[in-house]
Order: sequence, then structure tokens, then C-alpha cells
Amino acid sequence: MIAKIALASLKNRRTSVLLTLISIIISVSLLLGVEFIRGQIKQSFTRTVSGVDLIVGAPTGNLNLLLYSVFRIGNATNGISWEQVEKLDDHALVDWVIPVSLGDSHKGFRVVGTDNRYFTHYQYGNQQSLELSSGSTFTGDMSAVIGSEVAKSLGYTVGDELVISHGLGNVSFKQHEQHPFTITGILAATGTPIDKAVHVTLHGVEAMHEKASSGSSVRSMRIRKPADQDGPPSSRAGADTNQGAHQHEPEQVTAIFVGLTSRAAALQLQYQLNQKNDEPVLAILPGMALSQLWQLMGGVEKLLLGISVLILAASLIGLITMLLATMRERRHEIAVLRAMGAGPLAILWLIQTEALLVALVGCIAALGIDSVLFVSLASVLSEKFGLFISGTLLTGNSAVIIGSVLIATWLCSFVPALAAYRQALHAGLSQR
Amino acid sequence: MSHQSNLHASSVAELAVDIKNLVYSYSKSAPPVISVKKWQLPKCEHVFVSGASGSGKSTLLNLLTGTLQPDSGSITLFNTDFGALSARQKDAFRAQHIGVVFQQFNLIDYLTVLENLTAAAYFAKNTSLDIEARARQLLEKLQLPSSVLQQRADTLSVGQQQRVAIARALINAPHLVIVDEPTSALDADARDKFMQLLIEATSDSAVIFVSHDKSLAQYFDTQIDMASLNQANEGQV
Repeated sequence: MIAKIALASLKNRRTSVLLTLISIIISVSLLLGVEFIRGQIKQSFTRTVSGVDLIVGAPTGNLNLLLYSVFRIGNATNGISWEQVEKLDDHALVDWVIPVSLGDSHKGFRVVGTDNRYFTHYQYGNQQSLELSSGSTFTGDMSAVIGSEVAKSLGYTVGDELVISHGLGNVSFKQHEQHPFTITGILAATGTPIDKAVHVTLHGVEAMHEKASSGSSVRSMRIRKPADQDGPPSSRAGADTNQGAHQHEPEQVTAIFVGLTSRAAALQLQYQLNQKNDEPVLAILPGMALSQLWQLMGGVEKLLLGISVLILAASLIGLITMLLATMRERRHEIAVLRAMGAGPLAILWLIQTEALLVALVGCIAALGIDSVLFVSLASVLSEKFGLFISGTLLTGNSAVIIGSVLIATWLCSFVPALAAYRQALHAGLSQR
Repeated sequence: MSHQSNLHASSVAELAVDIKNLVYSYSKSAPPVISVKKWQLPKCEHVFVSGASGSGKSTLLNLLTGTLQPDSGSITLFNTDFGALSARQKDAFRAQHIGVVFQQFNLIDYLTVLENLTAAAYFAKNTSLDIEARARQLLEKLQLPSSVLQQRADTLSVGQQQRVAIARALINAPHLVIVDEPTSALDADARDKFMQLLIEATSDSAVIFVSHDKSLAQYFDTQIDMASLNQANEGQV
């Protein structure tokens, strides 16, 4: 009955209640949104790479190497020589290497030049290997394997041809139209930047650039006999048979993902590469670089969270003010309730129920608005910021936030509720 | 609770109200507004209390309902020493045994008629009755169509509000009904109709009706003036 009276009372003051509700919705939306994005960023980054012990690239910052090589954020300023790939591949501590070459794009999607070792060794999430939803891995120099988002967005299927553009923009004036790649496989969704990548062979990329630039500039190549190429047995067989009599071996690659025979050797090899190498390179441990990233983001996270909490506090003060402001005009109503037998505690609980109802509706609305917002903005977030939204807002963290908001509301509502309680104690029957 | 068992005993006592040496003043330095040596009201008796403005009529009602505490003296309602009850017990007692009709009827505007009535039953913890059936029965007795049950109180005419106010006061079948100048804003015809309905509907309860309009005294078993009540009156009303 108290809830029914509280609801009717709120409906009766719908304008002021609505304004208060809107401010609570905005503040709780912000709080939930910041927390959700924080979690998603962490999850998105953490699940993108797994099982890679070292990442080697040209000397730059640790974070920069991690961001451009794994998350495809930003660009490499330089490359490293193919000799480094071979040297690492032959190293006793190294189990496998994956060379990657970045810098081109296809209709806004990044192109990753690599070889079949990528599909064999690269892992994401909880050490999950890449899987094909259709087709096979590279079968020849001009074959391409696309991510699930690329296939979905551009409507590509196995057998379609695509042309790579030079550079990373959506619009490029330099299209390699003479060297179309044929899609041989489509990867299953991973919820990582891989979904938005077009994977082509290193040899194909090099051949394409070589012909386009007549063998000059950075992307020069050298010719050698077919190298040993790891890969899934099914795809590898095809690749070997379809590749030409000679390979266009790249001069440079952007980065190398390295898997070690023993993870314990990671620091040792990192030291060797960073300190005792004839060619200057930077080797990073992905986990440590991620920690640096979290540290960097921690300050921003706290700032955003602090702003959201302050906005929520302002909203709750608004709620209390709204309830307090109505106390004078409700003297008569409180006196009537008292005469009907409502005790001061019932009056106190009535005011608290009103506050809690507003906060609860605000939280539910905020949850709904945020959910709709994130679903509708998911593609924009992944496209513009590389943030992959997965899962729902209905998480333990959201429950904690909503619980905290309700507890804060309950505590704050003691201010108007005690005013009403005191009023109720002294309310006579004839107050008007 | 003790007051419930005492209430059953009151059938023997046959008294609804028993006041002894009751004194109340709004401040220590001010003269007492209420000073009643002895006043008794038998069960089911209807008494008319008149008095000029400021004579202490409403104060007496507030003392009887426990929303004001007397400076000294005792109030016994249906054989229950009201002053000995805690605040919570007084609230419960008031909800269960006292019905109040206010001057302005004082329905809660934003609730429907049914909600106004069920709220009174809820605060009285009245679960033994089918409240909606009881509400329909009361409205019928007060000549209101049951369709008004779902109407908001602020959409009712003054005449309808009067009757709903009586229904709310009677929803818990109270033993004592306190009525505080409910006819002051009514014209003569409306006033007479209201009085007839009130007297009919409260035939099983004791009624204390407060008004400055002495012409209403004709509807009551007995009448008393606040001035004489406040003097050294003795004996039963």
C-alpha cells in the first residue's frame, strides 16, 4: 500500500519528478556507460592476443608497437629486415614466428600481409586458435583470407576478388588494380581486430608493390626458393602446390610475433634482441605492454568515473531537494495520513519509497538506454576506435553500480524522510 | 496488544471515553487551553461539542486521538488508558478504533476513492475484512454509486467528497467517530443531508461532533459547550 501511495504521489507531481528522473537517468547512464566501456576496452584488448610471447618491431615505444601490430591502432614508422625473421626462426629458444606487414588497406579495412603460419599459431581470447568459417587459408601468392566483419560488411564470399589500396584511408588514389587478390577463406568471428582485417600473403603484397614501383623504394624484394611454410595441413598442401617456382621474399616486415619453446625464456630473448642485436629492434612482452596501457588508462578511467560519480551526486541532491521542497505543501497530506493511523515510521518509509522508486526507474531506464546505445553504436565503436562490444550491460559490475545508487538514494532520502517524520510527530488533525 | 483485550472488556464498562483531570497548554507560561476534571461518554452515544473559535475544540480532538500529549490527567478510551500507550500503539489504536471526519474532508487528492478507503484499512492492519466489499457497502449506504470507487478524490463533487470522507472514517468499523466541523462550508440543504447520512451511518459508534453551529445539536443525543467542559464540570455528559 505504501508503494501504491508513493507511486500515486509521484504521478501527482509528475513534472518535477520527471525532471529529477531525467537527471538520474543521465547520471546513471554515464556511470554504467563508463564502467561498461572500461570493461569492454580491457576485455577487447586482453582477448586480442594470446600465446604470443614476444612482439618484435622497429625501435619505437612499447605501447606504439603493441597498438599498431596487434590492435591495428596507429602506424608503424619503420620496418625490420627479413633477416630478423629468419634469424628468429632459427633461434634455439623460438618455437615459431609470424611475420606481419601492415600499411595497406581495402575499403577502409586494414590489410595484413603474412603467411600461413599466422593461421596456425596466432591465438586470441583464452588461447583459441583462428578458425575458418568457409574456404581455406592461403593457397597461392594472390590469395586473401578475410575477417568475418569484412565479409559481412562488404558481402564477400570465397572466390570473390578484391583490390588493395596503398595507405590506410577509406579513399586512396593508389589502387593496385592490376593485382587483385582472390578470397580463399573467411575467418570465423573472434570479436577482435582480426574480424576487420584482410589477410594477404607477404609474397603477394611484395609482388604487387614491386610491379607498381618497378622494384624501387622500401618494398623491394628478393627472390629465393620456396621457404618452409608452416600451416594447417589442409591449407599448407594447397599453398605449396599453388605457389610459383620462386618466392618474392620481402625485404622488410612491420613486426614479428614470436612463440617460444619456453615462456621462461621470454625475458632472456627480449634482452638479447633489445641489447645485443646488429640491427636495432624492439622486442616487447605483450602482457607487460598491456599493463603499461592499463596504467596509462587508469588515470583517465578514474577521472571519468569521478566525473560520473559527481554527476550522480548532483542528481541525488536534486532528488532530495525536490522531496524537501514538497514537504511544506505535503503537511496537510501527512496530517491526514497520520489521522488515518499511519505512524511516523510509515511516513518516513513513504518518503523513502518515493525516492527509491525514482532511483529504481532511473536505473532501469539508464540500463535500457545504454544497452540500446551500445548495440546501435557497436559498429561505429569498432570501426572508429577498434573497440569490440561483446556481452551485455547486465553484469556483476552493473548490479554493483545500481545497488550502490539505490543504497546512496536510500541514505540520502533520510534527509527529507526525517523532516517528514518530525512533521508527522507534530501533525495535528486539523492542519490544513 | 493490551488495548485490544481491554477493548473487549469495555463492553462491561460501557464507556467510550473517560477523561480525568485533563490539562493541556501550548506552552508552560500560557494558560491551559484544556482543563477538564471529568468527562465520560458512553458507548454508542452521539455528543455535540460546541464552542467559539479558539475555545479548544480541535485541541480536545487531537488529545483524544493521541496526536497531542496532555500535560497531566488521563484519557481512557474503551477501558484502555490511552496515555499509557507508546506512540506506535497509539497510532495502531487510532487506526483500528477511531474514525475521523475533517472539516475539509481531507481526502488524499491523488488517490482514488478505493485507495483512500483501503489506505485507511491498511494503516489499521485490517485484514479481516473484504475491504472492497465493505467500501461498496458503505458507499451504497451513503447513497454513492460504486462507480466512484475508481475515481480520483480530486475529481469528486463536494457532496461526494463528504460522503467518501464518512466512508473512510467508518471503513474499519470504528468504535469512536470524531467529526471536526465538517459542515462549515456547506449550505443549509447540503448540511442537513450530510448530517442525516452521518447519523445513520454511525449508529453503532460513539460520535464526538465538534462545531460552532449550535443548530446542529438537534441531531445528537447530548450536547456540551467547550466553555462549560473546561470549567469544573463533573458527571457524565
